Amino acid sequence: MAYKYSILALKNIKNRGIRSWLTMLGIFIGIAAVVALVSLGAALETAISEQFVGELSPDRITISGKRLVGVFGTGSFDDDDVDLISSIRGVADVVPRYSSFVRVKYRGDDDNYMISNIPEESSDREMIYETYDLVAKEGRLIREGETRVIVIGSRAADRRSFRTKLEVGDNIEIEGENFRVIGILEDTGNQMIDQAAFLPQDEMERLLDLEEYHSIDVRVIYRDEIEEISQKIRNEIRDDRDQDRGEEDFEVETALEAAEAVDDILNTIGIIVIGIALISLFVGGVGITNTMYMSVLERRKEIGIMKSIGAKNKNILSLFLFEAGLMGLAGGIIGSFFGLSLAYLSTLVVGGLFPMIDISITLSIPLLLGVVLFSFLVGTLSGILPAIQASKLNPVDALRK
Amino acid sequence: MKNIIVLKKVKKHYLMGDTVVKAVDGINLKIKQGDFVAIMGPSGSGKSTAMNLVGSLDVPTEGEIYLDNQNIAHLGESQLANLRGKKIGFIFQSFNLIPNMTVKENVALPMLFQDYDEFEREKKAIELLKKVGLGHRIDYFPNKLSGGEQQRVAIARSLVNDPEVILADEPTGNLDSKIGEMVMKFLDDLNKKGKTIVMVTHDKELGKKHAKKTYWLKDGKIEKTTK
Repeated sequence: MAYKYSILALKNIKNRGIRSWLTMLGIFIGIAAVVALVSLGAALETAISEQFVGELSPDRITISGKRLVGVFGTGSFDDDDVDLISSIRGVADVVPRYSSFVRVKYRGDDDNYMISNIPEESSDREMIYETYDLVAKEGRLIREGETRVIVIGSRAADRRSFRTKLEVGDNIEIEGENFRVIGILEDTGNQMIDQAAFLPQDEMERLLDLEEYHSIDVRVIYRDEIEEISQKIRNEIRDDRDQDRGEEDFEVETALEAAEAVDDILNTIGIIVIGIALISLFVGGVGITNTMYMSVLERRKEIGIMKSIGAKNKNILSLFLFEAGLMGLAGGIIGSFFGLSLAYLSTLVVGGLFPMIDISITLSIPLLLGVVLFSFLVGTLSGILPAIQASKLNPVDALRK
Repeated sequence: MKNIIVLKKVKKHYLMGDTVVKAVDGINLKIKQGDFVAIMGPSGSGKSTAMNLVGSLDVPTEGEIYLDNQNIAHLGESQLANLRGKKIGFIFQSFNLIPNMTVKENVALPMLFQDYDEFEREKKAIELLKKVGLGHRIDYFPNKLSGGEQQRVAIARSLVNDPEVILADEPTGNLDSKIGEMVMKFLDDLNKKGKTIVMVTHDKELGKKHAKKTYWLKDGKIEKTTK
């Protein structure tokens, strides 16, 4: 039964030509928005959580500037701050961190690297290796007191701007000095680390003439004290800098908090997206209702004819519901296609603007099926009132047009 | 021959503003199976309303209507639709074909509502179109056909579910007399094959020439009956 009405319904939709297309536009935009934003949202979520959180280190606190860029800080701290934090009870290690963008040259090509420091003291160095999960895939890691050496993140070794791939033993030039690549790291899953390079701390300070730390990594002795200690660190530095509560120029964040902050942002984006999509689907649905009402008026006589040759009310009802549903369905299918294309194009743009971010769309079949089914449902629901009106037409009145 | 249509004290009144319009005001009649009956009268005499009642497009305000011994005066919507689909074939003055369907689809449409499958629908539609001499026009749209051809399509459509009664409302009203004669010949042939035909017309000659019995309506009542 569904089949025979769907053919008739399709014919009627086709017959309305441009009006059907315009009607579908509402659903189309709504569905395209949902598919694009949900796909993009999922891709962003994956990218961001890889980017900013990586593997959670539940005993780590990061003190940074107000703007935290992934694991790399933008604040300014000195040895007094380091001493201050070290004096807090429950703190195990305090490791000052540098993060600087530098121009690197390799065999005549150049590119930008985010460079960070590997501490000179062995316990600090081990902590950094451990928290950031730095393991050499090729070569080895930096040892104590080494000079003119560099360790490269897995993706930093394989930049498109380099015509040949960096290998262990190659030399690269930074600020006019040559550094020998002694190790290439395994993938850490954290994009920012994989795209970065690491110098011995003394070398980095000398080369870039650094005086202030950009961030400070802290490890606590007991994990269950982490919230308490992070609060203490915030208070101590604020008092030391004579700043008011809420007016701090620094940020103290535990790994868990970082994850939660990212989650919060994504959830907010998600709610806004769904809100917009629902509004446009509602408007699309109203569009279908309107078109179907017009159609009932225009096809009064046709409805009368059908009734005179034996159509029951429920036949007319099914026919009109099918037409509305099919318009929703078609809008949904075309919208899904456009939404996916849009999401894909957006990733190309994001990838072009920020080559460090690795973002890719995965095709979610359940999402697509759900969305298409939903659009059919929206269409059908939008058609209910006009379809009831059509089915209730008195055949004698309907024929007398 | 049995009575196929019986009307007993049938009234159809409706409100138009504040005035009660007595479109049909107490009609009694009996039509035998295989008969060819004309209902005649000036416009506003109630002949179309009477036909709508017999055709189960409408229900009476009062009285009983029997179609093939079944009282249809109090049936529900779905049962009336069923009757229209199975026992009655309509032919209208303005043909009433659906413009965005081909001739074949128009003829097959009544079978769609009776749950015939696609193969049967198509086969029967083509067979009937050949009978009315339109075998070469099956995939045309109605607006490409002449008035006479369109009315022949309508006749084919009225026959597709093999109804007992054909109701024709001014079947030649939109046709010139020569084409009209041709359409009437189809109705005569159907009558000879046993179909009961009820024709509403205001054309006295047409009634006299084709019908075996004529009811003359005036002000919703039967004024006289002639043979």
